Amino acid sequence: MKTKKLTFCAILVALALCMSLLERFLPLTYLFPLPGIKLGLSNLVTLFALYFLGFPYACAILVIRCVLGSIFAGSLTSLAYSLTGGILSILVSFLAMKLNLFSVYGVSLLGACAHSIGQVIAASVLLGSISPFGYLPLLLCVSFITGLVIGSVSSLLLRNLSGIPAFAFSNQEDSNS
Amino acid sequence: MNKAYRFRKGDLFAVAIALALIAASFLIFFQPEKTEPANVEIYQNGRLLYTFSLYESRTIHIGGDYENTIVIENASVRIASSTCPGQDCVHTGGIHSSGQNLICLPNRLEIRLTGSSDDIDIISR
Repeated sequence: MKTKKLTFCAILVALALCMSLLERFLPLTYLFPLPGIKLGLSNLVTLFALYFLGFPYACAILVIRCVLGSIFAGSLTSLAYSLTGGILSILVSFLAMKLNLFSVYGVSLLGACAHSIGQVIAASVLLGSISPFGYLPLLLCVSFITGLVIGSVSSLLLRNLSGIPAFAFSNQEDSNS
Repeated sequence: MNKAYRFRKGDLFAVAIALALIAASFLIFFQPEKTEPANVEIYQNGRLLYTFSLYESRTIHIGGDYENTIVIENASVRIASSTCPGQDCVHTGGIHSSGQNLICLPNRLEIRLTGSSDDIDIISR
């Protein structure tokens, strides 16, 4: 079981990397001329991992994805940025998931907002100035939309994959059967 | 578990939280200044490097980890080119009212437009 999970994690990392690469071709920065705007497609992978594999695996996928992503197409600063945003986002998503109040829509939305806040904090620290916070209102507005969009796509994805035995990894589900 | 995959009433709560965050951030951080823009301040690593007038056209090259070319013309500032991988600063375009700023994070570069009098600038310390 563990080998299966590990292999699956590797595939998910590859998938998330492809998604962040694909995202570069989406001209979201032309629509909203702000640094750091993106759709957050790879958050689909994070959400899937959170629900199907569990928090430790989702964290591992996120960190490896950020590190490899910045090696392939980025810099050390982009790593600091995506890692801070990503970690804050996954923590908030995990807590929101555990609350048993929200569906994947709410989890995705709160995670997206947390990502923006994390990004802005990282940018402020790197820059040694608080002016990146000036971007926060608009970043949050965009996160609101992208969070709900990714939430609805995740909802579709999770609903369709939940019945398939090949995707039944999680320990809770093992003990249920 | 399955109900966690469909939109629930509880999600409205998440929407409310997000909207509250947006409202709060607008109230705290979105304060356009009404003064006429006058100076272009260029910072790197949090230190002020240059101050130029917005109304004199010029091109400035900034080194560092990457290279930025800053163009001041027609009472607006933009980063015309950058050797950084993201190019976000170039996509941001020009800024022309005071309180606005341009950031090239990979090069730790920040360009602020400030009004004529220093005490009006709320951002600088």
